[in-house]
Order: sequence, then C-alpha cells, then structure tokens
Amino acid sequence: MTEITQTPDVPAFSFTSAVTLCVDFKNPQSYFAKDPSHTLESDFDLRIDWQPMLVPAMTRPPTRVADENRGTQHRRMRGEYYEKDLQRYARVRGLTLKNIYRNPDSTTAGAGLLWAKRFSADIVRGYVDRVFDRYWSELLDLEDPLAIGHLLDELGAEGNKFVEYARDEGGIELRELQGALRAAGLFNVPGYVVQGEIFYGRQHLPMIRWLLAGRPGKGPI
Amino acid sequence: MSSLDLSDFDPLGSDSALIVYIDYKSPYAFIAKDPTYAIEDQLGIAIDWRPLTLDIPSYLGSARLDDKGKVAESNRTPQQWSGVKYAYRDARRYAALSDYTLRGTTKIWDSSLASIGMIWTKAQGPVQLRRYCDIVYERFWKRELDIENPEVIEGLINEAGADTDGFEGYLVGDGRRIHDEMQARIFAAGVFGVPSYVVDGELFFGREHLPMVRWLLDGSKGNAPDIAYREFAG
Repeated sequence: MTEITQTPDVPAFSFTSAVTLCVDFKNPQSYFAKDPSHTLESDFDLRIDWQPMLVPAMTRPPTRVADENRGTQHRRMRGEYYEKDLQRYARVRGLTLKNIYRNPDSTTAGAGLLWAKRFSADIVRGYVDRVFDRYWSELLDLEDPLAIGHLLDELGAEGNKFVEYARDEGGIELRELQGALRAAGLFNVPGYVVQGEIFYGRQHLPMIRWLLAGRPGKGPI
Repeated sequence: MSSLDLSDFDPLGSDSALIVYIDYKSPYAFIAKDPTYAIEDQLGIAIDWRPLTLDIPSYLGSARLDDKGKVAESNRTPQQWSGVKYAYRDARRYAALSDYTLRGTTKIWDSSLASIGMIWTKAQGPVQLRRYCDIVYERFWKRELDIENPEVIEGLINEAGADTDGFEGYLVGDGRRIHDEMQARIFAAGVFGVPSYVVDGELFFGREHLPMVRWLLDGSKGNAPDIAYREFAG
C-alpha cells in the first residue's frame, strides 16, 4: 500500500511556513532534493516544513517486445531514460543510488518524520538525512518500525515510544495528512510550496530562491 | 528544393556541437527557446535545431476543449489530467517572466506542417530559422496561429525572411517524406520528448539540463552542475 485515497470532504492542508517540502523516502527525486533544500534553509536562514507524502514507486520500464506499439515504446524509452538520468546526476552529486524500483510501503518512515517533528528542527533534519541516505544505500527497511525507532533513538527522539505511535496514532495522522495535501493540490514529490505556488522538482530552486528574496530583477527561466 | 539529405542523418550525431529537438506545440519547448538561444550566443556555437513532432495521445491521452474552455472530449486518466494541468501552470509562470503569453491549447494540434516549415527554413540560414521559431512559438501560444494550415506556414516562412518558392510542393512531397522518415528515426533512436538536447551523443530531456549542457559545451570546467531552471543571459 503506497497510496492513500482522498476523501472528498477533507480540508486542504494549511501552509504556514515560508517553504513546505513534501517528500517520499522511497522516491529518488525526493532524495536528490534533500541536500540542495538544506542549502536553501541555510542560505535564507529558514526552516523548511518537511511533510511526508506517499506516492507510487517508480515502475520498471516495460521490456522491449517485437510488436511494441508507439505508446508502449514511448513509455519504455522514457523509463529507460529516467533511470540513466537518475544515475547520471547521482554521479554528479556523489550520491549512492541503489535499486530505484524497490517498492516499499513508506508509511512507517513517513510516520517517523511526523514523530521527529514533535521534537526539533535539528532532529527533523537528522531524520531526513539518515532515512534517505540509508535507504538509498540499502541499509534501512522503510517498513520496519523497530529500525525507524532505532534511528529516532540515535537522534534522541524517543524511538521506543515511536513503535506504538506508528501502530496507532501515527498511521491515522499520516493518512489524514495525505488527504489534506491532495486537497491542497499536491500530487507528486518532491513538491515545494512557496507563496501559495506548487513546484515539483529541485530544478525550481532558482525560482524559489528568487521568490524568497523578494523577486529582485528578472526571474530565472 | 531539398532541405536535408537524410542519407547521413544521425538522430544523435551532428556536425554541430549541440542538437536541439523541439516541437512548436510543446509549452516546455517554447519556454526553453530563449535560454537555449542564450547558450548558443554565449558560447558562439551553431545549434543543429531539429523538429520532433510529438504524438501526444500515444503517451498522454487526448482531449479537446469546447468554445468555453470546458472539456468536450477526453480519454485521459485523472493522473494524466493532473500532470497536464500542472505542466501548463508551470510553463505559464515561467513564460510570464519573459512577458510571453501562454494560453492552453483547445486541442492537440498536428504540428507536422510547422515542423516541415522548420526544416525548409533551416536550410536557408540560422537567422531565418530563429525568426521563424520566434514567430511560430509566440503566435501559436497566443492562439493566433493555425499551424495546420499550409498557407499560414508559408506566410510565416516568408515573414521570417526565407524564400518560399517551391515550398507548396515541398510540403506535400519531399518535405513530408523527409519529415516522416526523420521522425521514425529520431524516435527509434530513443529521443521521445522536447526539448531534448544531444551533446556528444548523450541525450538530455528538458531545459533543466541546460546548466549541464552548457558545462559540457564549455569544456567541463570545475564541478558538473545539478539540474536547474536558471537564467543564462548576461
């Protein structure tokens, strides 16, 4: 299970921070957005409001077949391209990027982010860093409450209590959040929300910086 | 007039350092136009511009709006609609930074005539081609252009300062043949979307790769850049 169905009467999420960033730990583009988003925080002396958002995992491109129609061929080529592109920028960034087609249920890791937010911004940052880095090095099971609890313990965030939270309240909280984020118009990750506008992808960071700086001069295109 | 001999056409290779694939009906290709010009001008390179006429319904479903802008026909999934609507909103906000008007289209246009016009105009020189691209993009996205009308395309070529003598026959003869064969070979080579950039045989899809494209073309000095939509002018 990776998608939470939105109920029609769910109130939309209210964005109160200068920058909200929705991520899914199993999503490689979310991982790639992490460090430049930390830099944004430092440069503008702000705290990003990190929110867990569950989206479908990347799917492996279809295998080439003899009677492939154009649509299937297009999806295959696009999928093959995206895999190469991810590996290309992983090399550029010096990031480890193991199997991009894993499809864990990231609910528990998402609940861990909500739990970390009960403590401090430093703990949130440490949590985001460790979960992403370990998952993409295949050193962390996003579905394992004990592993997530242990990681939270490392950060001093009462990981022992997290297991119970993840089983009950955390799951409900995360589920409600998914509905509220979707009601606010979000459907993908990494999704930045700045001044009421949604931007998918770290390629928008120059625009986000320009907005945060008060729109000086000509905007980046 | 034959604008291109396809015997040595290589979808991922060119005498130019940079190949750029575009389609006039793509809002993202429109937004990429000026930043791509900036790289061409700053680095003093000649870009090999090529048309990639997208078959949008094959991968993104199809839809048509009525006169009031309401959906009259559609076979798109909700996810496809979300993606398409976001893409237009996104392109529009960046277009606004360049004072361009970008109105959503009311149908999926067949842009092959405009692509054939591009091949024709390209053969007459880069100045004419750039003018043609500017006129087609800017007017099409204001909904002021019927790019499925051969006479309109011929008028645009003329306005771009290119000779149109023989274009009418080219459009239905050699031009159509060259275009269709090019499209098949481009797609078979793995180029599937626009704007796409090819440097040393390596494909980059989307203008977010322009920092990398520029870095490669400029001698790969220093650290390779990450993806970004950014300003290249100045």
